[in-house]
Amino acid sequence: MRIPDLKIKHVSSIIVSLVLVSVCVFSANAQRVIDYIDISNPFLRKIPIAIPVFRYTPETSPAERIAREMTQVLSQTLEFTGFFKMLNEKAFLEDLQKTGITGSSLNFKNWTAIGAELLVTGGINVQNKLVVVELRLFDTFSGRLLVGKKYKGWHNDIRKIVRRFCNEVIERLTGNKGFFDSEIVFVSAHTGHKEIYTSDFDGYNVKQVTKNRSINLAPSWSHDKEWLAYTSYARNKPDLYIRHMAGKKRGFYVSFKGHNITPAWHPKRMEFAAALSKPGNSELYLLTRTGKIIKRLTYDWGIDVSPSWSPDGKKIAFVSNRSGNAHIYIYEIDSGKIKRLTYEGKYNVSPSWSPKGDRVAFCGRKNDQFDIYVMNVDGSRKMQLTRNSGNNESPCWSPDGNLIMFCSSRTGKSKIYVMTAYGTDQRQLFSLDGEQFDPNWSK
Amino acid sequence: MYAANDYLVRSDIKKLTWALTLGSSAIGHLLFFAIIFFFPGLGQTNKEIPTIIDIDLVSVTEKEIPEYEALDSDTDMVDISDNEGTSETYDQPVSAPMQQPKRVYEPKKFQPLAPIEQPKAYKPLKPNPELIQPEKMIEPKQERAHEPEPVQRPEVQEIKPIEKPKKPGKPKIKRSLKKKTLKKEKIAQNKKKRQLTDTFRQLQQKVRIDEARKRIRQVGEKKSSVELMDIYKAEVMSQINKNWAVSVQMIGGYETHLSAILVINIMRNGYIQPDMWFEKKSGNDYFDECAIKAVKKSNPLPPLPGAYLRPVYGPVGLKFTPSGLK
Repeated sequence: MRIPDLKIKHVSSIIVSLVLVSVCVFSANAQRVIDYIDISNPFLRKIPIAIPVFRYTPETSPAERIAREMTQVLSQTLEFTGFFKMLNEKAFLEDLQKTGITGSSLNFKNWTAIGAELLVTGGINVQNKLVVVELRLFDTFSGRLLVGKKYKGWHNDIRKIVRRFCNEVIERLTGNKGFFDSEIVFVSAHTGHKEIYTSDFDGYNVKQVTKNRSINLAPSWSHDKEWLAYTSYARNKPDLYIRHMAGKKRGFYVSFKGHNITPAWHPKRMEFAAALSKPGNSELYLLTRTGKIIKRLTYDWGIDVSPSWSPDGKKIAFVSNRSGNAHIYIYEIDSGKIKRLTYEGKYNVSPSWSPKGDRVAFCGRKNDQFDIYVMNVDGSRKMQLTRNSGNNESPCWSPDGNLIMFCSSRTGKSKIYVMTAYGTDQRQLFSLDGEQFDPNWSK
Repeated sequence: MYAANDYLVRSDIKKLTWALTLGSSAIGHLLFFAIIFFFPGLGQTNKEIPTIIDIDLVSVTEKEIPEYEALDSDTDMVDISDNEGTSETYDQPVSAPMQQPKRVYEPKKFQPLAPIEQPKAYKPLKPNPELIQPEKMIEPKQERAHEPEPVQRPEVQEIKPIEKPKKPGKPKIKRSLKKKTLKKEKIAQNKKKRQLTDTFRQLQQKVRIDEARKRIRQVGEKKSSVELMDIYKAEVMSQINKNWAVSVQMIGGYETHLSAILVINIMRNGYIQPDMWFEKKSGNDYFDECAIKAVKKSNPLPPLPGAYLRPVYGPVGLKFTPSGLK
């Protein structure tokens, strides 16, 4: 009698609870279904940064001049990297001279309001011959101090101080070292002879290296920046010269029979690869700093030139015409294996291995025009970086792998240009008379 | 047998029927409530999801700017600094369609009026107007950006009386002043670089916009709140895109496949509730941070449409992918 009764109760209660549970679950699900909006097109492809004029003490016009100059140098130096978009000074709502430069005295809302995501504040105290500079990098949204440094130096050390601070900034933001202490070497013909020159990474401080009134080409930095190898016709045939940059140590030269060209320093050791035509046709050799042959690398009937080391020093990209046309190949030092990278076109030269090791930049010819390309080290994902702007040749990477320097004839004569590794922000490095080419970036 | 007969005959029958009726009515009620409970949600999502595609509607609403401005000044004058942050909020016209849906779609009359908002702001761009002219035809956005000519101001004045009857709106001077500076800068900077690359996209956009207009015209007055929310979503998308700055180098180039979903809730007045969270992180801290900054800069978003009845719109997932970089 009672049993069925109980069953009914059970059944009905189970049904009811099931319904309740399902309602709860469904309603929870219903609330969970959310709308999505695709945000896929950033308006700005850089980091907006504000660098207001440094606060200066004492409040005199020479101090102001130095503060302004330093602010400008800092802006230019950071802008060079291609990472930042400098916000226009006219948009700023705050003046450091009035507010102060520490986190507590700044109203970050006034900086986020104009779109700045980063803010550099500087304070400069101009003494008799010294300057004491405090520089800070802030995240404007969190108000966090990202970098804070204090420097002391002579008046003409301003650029040095700025570069040191920029190194800190880049390292803090990207985790990689900045390249602001690096130098470049290039060939310039502005005196009427193709001589080798060096300059800072930004084209500032140009110095002449060779003065032999001959033809000097293809300069290359050793990994410690102390030695320079280059090709010179000083003895009326292309020989290799190895020169101590400070000039304190004796130089060497390599003058085997035939040509001795395109040196490339090993990324870690004091050795270099170069193309010698000693055996009859141009082959790659590995040589010591003093010019002694360690071993011959390639054995082929074709011409092999322009070696470029992988950052780990285990492979070399080079140019060979073994297939009939000039193409880029990779040579493995240990195994001696050779792999072809480029198949398109008939002329691909000047390989340059990126410091990160994943990409190779090179110069390719298409429709009688030379342009810069980059590709993965297996030849995939080829990307054209320059187009419709004269001939663009001799690419080389910045030490951090974010920029590529090259020479271009877009304005008539060949000049040296810089762009990001994606081909954006192309600009001329400096204006010297005559032609400049064959740039090489130190570590 | 006995038991069965007994069971059927006795008053137990009453108990059974009673229990059954009670149970079934309970089920019926619960089902009813359940349906009511999640019907709106389902209804919305079903209708809204497909329309996400029509993101580029932004530009349609741009024409309504004059209307919106009046509205906007009414609603959020509160936080000046935030407003500045949103800098190029062309998109704010949203609110107009919400309250006066019909007018929103009479924009053709108002087309030339678009620049009202910032004629002065773009003066510095004057040197290039010729370059840009072809684009004028293509995209209303650009049109505004590059139509600095003071010549249009007289028009502006003529139109004001038209606006006023709609919304008595207080003029919000501060805001427009600050907007100017930001816009100047950003536009000047990106304009040249992006002109060529954007042309194609703009053409595509125009096609979509035209389609959207056609559709809207067909639907005419029957326009539902779903469509309003489409427009609203497009406004949100546009506003956040404009405030989104991400360094290509820091995210590993143009061909990156990063993607992050940031979930927010939007209040009736357009302000974003402070508790936002990542439904999915990209794995790149910098990229995630940029997404948050873009949203913060865009706060407040345009107010919710009047036809939207709930106090809070959300959760809304903002799907950040740098695919537009390519």
